[in-house]
Amino acid sequence: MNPIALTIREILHRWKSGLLVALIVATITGALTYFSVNNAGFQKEIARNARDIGSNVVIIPAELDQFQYHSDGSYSDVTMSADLVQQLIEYKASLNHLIPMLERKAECVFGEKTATARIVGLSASIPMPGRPKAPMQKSIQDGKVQLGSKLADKLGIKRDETPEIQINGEYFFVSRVNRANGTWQDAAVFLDLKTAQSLFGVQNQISRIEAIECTSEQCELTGLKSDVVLANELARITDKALILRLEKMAAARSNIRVISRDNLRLLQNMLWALLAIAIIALSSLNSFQRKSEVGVLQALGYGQWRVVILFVSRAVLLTILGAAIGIACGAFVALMQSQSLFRVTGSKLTIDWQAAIIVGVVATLLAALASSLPALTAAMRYPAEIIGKEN
Amino acid sequence: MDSVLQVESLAHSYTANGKQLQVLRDVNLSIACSKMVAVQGESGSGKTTLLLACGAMQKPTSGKVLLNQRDVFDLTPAARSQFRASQIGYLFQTLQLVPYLNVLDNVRIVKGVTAGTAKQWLERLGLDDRLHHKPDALSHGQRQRVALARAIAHRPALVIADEPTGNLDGKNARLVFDSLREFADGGGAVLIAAHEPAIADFADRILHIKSGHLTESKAGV
Ligand SMILES: Nc1ncnc2c1ncn2[C@@H]1O[C@H](COP(=O)(O)OP(=O)(O)OP(=O)(O)O)[C@@H](O)[C@H]1O
Ligand SMILES: [Mg+2]
Repeated sequence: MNPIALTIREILHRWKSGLLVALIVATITGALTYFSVNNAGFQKEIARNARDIGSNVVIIPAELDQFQYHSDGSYSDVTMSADLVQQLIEYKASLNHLIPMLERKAECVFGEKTATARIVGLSASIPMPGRPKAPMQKSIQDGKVQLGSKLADKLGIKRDETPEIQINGEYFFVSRVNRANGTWQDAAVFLDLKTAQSLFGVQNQISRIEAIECTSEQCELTGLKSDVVLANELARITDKALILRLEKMAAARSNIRVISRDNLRLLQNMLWALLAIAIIALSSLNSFQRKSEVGVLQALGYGQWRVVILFVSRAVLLTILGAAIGIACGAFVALMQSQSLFRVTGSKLTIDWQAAIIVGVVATLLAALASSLPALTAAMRYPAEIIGKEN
Repeated sequence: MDSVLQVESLAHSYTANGKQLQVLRDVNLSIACSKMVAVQGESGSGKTTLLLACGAMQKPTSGKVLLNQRDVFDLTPAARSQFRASQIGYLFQTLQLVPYLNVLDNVRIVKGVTAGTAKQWLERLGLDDRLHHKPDALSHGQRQRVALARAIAHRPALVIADEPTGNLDGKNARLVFDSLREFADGGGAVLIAAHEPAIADFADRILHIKSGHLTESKAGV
């Protein structure tokens, strides 16, 4: 009788213990799979939220009077060359989502009403090559402007209106009135950077670059703090600019990411350990318990390898069954839950097949190994030594 | 006549709890084909130990076991396993049926045994209505007979039966002895441990084991 046929008879005969093994494997592989899908969603959601906190780094011209800049509410007329953006990218500085800006104060006219407002020219956020690049700032159409809500109030423009206004003597269509966000931006006008540069006659000049820092890699590599890393990088590129860093925001952002990542990793490692221990224990226990059967089969002429196949195939069959159930259920539940849990990124989540396959393959290999070793050592002994005295 | 089984200067001692127990001392034995040899002795005298060594199931402390002129403990484990399966049919005192196979498959599991042969032997031993039962649905006496069928069905050179009739009534015990006798008459050799007096009617020789030594009470015919 071939070993696989014997295995199937054995599993059917001791179906309760087989079912229990499959269920335990299913539970743990299911948890691991659930976890890896959920984890991917969680990380994406955290990253998105961290990004949406906004820029935490501002690069300003070195010659700017910082006292004046701050007392004017983070505003200055001083500019620097826009080439710095390209230089930062070429250097692969520890930054992402770079937004170059040009600011001027100018007269805005709509009908009878006028107001002097901050005019902000900006481009879409520029991703650093090789880093996540979902834009945090979209570009504004050439020739159009967006108005802060309080400025719109001052000029008598309603939220749903899109009239033409005059800025610094030129006409622009209002593409939208922004929702109030409680900052100076509610009193500003936003337009495309290039448009602003030609409007104010300062080609290729910018007032500042806002960005998000990505210093964790360099900090680990050099052992330096974020502000030092950034200052050093900028100093190597130019002496015409310097960096202002919003310490609290940066720290909060990196803490959220690091803590969530480390905590998830810890949980995942625990699940892996649990999976390994459970499979090794279950598979080897089965082989240990059926030691006397090894002796009998050997006495009946079953060679060492046929005996091992008998035990390995049982462990592998049950593990594959359990892992298939666990991975399918884990992935399904994770996908369902992620969609309600992570409302923005959840719908884009898919099953991480690679992780699922790794879980399945590792579980199967462990089962094969753990079941074969006791069977193999038993099969090397004399039948009478392993056949018990009791029947 | 050539002997199927030849045991030379066999000795065996066990060590348990730090103490050595000498169970067999200088045992010599030879069984030719068509012969049935019975071993008797008190409980704990070493019958099972002797039978296990003769069946290549346990390595003796010293001495030789030749089966059809081959030293079974001189073979590699794989070769011994093959050789043992083809030359010996062994009925363990503890039976050791495979719990998840039915009666028929417990006999068929031995290499070279067809369903037909298995059925024939099981019917011969009065188990025709139990072919598809699992061992745990059988009485001890019924299981003994399944174990005998498994030991005998592939027609090995030597059948070793360790108390195959321990729990059987007189009628069924005679059925078992009769089957073994028939096997011997067909050219096989039989080594059996049994204390029923009825064995005297079937065995060619009866040996007694005491203090590790073998003595003969019924001389070879
Ligand atoms: N594995 C072992 N370790 C230590 N001592 C053992 C072992 N197996 C058997 N013995 C001892 O060896 C002696 C002979 O045992 P054996 O099983 O051969 O006796 P037996 O004649 O078959 O007895 P019974 O008629 O009760 O089956 C006994 O005293 C027993 O306690
Ligand atoms: Mg015994």
